[in-house]
Amino acid sequence: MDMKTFRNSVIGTFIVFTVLLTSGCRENNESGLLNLNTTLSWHGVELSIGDTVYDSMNRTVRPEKFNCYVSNLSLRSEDGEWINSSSISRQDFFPFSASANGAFSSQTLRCADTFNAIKFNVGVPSELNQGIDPTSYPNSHPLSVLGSAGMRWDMHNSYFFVKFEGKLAEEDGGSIETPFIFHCATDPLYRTVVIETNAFSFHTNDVLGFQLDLDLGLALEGSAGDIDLSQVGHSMGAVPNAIMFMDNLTTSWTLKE
Amino acid sequence: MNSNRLSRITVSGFMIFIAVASGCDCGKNPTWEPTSYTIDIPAFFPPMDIPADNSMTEEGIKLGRLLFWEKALSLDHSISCGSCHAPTSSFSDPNPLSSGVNGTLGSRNASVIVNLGWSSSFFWDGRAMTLEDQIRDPVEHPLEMNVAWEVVVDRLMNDDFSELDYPQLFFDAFGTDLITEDLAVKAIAQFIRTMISANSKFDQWRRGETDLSDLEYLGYQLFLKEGGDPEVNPGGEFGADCFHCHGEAGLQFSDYLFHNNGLDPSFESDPGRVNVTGYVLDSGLFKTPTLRNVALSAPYMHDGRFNTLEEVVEHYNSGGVSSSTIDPFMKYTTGGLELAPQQKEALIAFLNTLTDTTFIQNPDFRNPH
Repeated sequence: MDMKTFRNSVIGTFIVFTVLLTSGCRENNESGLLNLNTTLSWHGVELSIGDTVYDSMNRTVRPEKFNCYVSNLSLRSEDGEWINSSSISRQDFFPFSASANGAFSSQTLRCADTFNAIKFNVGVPSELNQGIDPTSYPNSHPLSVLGSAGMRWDMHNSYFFVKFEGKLAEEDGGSIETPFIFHCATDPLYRTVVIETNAFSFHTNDVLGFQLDLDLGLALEGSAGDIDLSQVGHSMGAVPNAIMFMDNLTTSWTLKE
Repeated sequence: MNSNRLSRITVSGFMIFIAVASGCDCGKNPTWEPTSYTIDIPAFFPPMDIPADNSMTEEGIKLGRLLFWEKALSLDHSISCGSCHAPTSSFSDPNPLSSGVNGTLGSRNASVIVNLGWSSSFFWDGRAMTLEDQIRDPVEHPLEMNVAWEVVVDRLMNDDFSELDYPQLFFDAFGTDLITEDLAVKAIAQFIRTMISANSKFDQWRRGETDLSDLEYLGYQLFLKEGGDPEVNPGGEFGADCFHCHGEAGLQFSDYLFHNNGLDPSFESDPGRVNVTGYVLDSGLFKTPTLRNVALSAPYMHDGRFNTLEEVVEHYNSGGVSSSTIDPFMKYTTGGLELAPQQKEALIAFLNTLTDTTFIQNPDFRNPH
C-alpha cells in the first residue's frame, strides 16, 4: 500500500460517523446503525489533506487541516417528518492525528420504514457550546478536553465549529508559505445541511451506510460568494469571510453515488 | 500398644505432618492483598483514564517510585529515570540535551513529568501513545539508559539490593514475584500517574483562594486573546495567541497535538513528528508541552535552545522562521505579535503563576534510595 492510498484509507476511517438508533420499532434495546462516510474533494476532484490544488486565481493552495463538529443527524420520513437525534461527532480529516476521534454519541431516533433525506448541523448546538464544563465529559466524548483538543476557544469558553487551515503561494511558482485560517465559531455560524436521497428503508437492527462528499473548493468559491484566501489571514468567529465560508459549506456536501 | 494409644500417635503424627507441610513452603506468603489507590482529581481537571490492566495500588506506586530512581535500569548503573528528570526542574532536564550512560548526549531535551496521566501522547514526536509504552523506551535507548530489559529483569530478580527485596516488592504490587518488563513498566506508570501538579498560584486563583496581581491578570488575558491587529487579521485582538496550542480547558495548558512553531527553516537536524508518521507535512512538528511549571523547566523547546522565558516570548513575538510546514498559528511571520514590553512582562508574570513548588518539593516523589 503506497503512502497516498494509506493516507486516504486513514482519512476514510476517520470520517465515519455512526448513529445508533435506539428506541426502535420493536424493542427499546434494539438499535440500528447509520454510517455516513465523508470524503473530501476540490471542485469535483478527490482531495487528501496535504494535496496541492489551485484556486480560481490559479494560485497553488495546500489544505493542511480540516476539522469540524457535526451534530443532530436527522432523517426525513416519507410523510415529511424529521426524525431528530441529539448526536454530536468530531470529524478530523487530517491524517495521523494524535487526538482522540470522538465517536457519535448514542442516538435516539424513532424508527420508521422509509426516509428520503438526511439532515445534520455543522457546529456545536448552542446548549452545548457554552456553559458546560468540558471536564464534565468522559475523555472519549468529542466535547471533552481531550476530545476537543485543538477545537476549544478558551476566551469564549466555547468550541470552534470548523477549523480549516492551510497555505498558499501568492505568486506563481512561489513557496507555499502564506497561511490561511478559518476558525468558525459562535452560534450565528451554526449551519444546517440537508441532503436529498432516494427513498431508503431503515429499520431497527439495520446497518446502513451513505457516502458523502465535501467539496472544499466549493466552500471557498460557492453559492454565497468567492473568498480570496490571500486576504483571509485568520478568520475567527462570525467575521465576513467565516460567514461566507460557512454559508458555502452548507451546499458543499453532496451524496456520492 | 492399645488401640487408643495407636490413635493418639496417629493423630499426633498427622498434626505434625500438617504443621510441617504448611510451614515447609519457605516461599512467599500466598496471600496477596494490595491496597487500592484512587487518584484524587483536582478541581477543573478532566477525568484520568487508568488502563484497565494497570489498576493503581499503594504497593504498585511504591515499587514504581523505587524503580523510577533505580540506577540498575541503566547499563552501567550510573543513571536512573530521575537523573534526567530532576525534581527542581519539574522533573525535566536543566541541560539542553540529556546525557545517557557514558555521557552520551541525546538529541532532545528531557520533557517535564507533570500530570502525564492526562496526556494522550508521549515524547516530543509522540511516538508512544500510552504512558506504559513511553516508559519502556528510554531503558533500551542507546543514547539513554542503553540496557536490555532482560538484563534489568535479571538484575532485579537476582542482584543484591541491600535492604530492597524486589521480588517481594513485585509480589506486593502484582501478586507474583516473577519480575517482568511489563510489570516494571506498569509500576513506574502507576507512580508517574500520581505526579500531579494542581497547586500553583493560578490553580489557587481558580479555586478562589487567592488573587492574581494586575500584571498577572493582564498576562492571562493576553494569553487567551487572539493575536494581531483586527484591521489586518480579522478576529485579531492584539493578544499573545497562546491558547490555540496551550489551551486552558482542563488546566493542562497543552493541546497534546503537534506543531511547527517556526524554529527552523528546514528540519535536517531533527525532523520531529514525520519520523513517526512518515507524513511529509509532519516535518518539523513537535508535541505541545504543558506550561505547568514552565518557569522551572528551562531550557525550552525540543532541543533546549532557549534558556529563558524572555527568549521564548520573544520568539513568538517575532513570529519565528517561516518554512514549508510552519503552523498557520504562527501566522505573523512577517511581523510577529508586536507585543509591547509591558505586555511581554505581563505574559511572563502570568506564566510564573503556573509554578507549583509544592509539586516539586513533594517528598512522595523524591529519591527513596
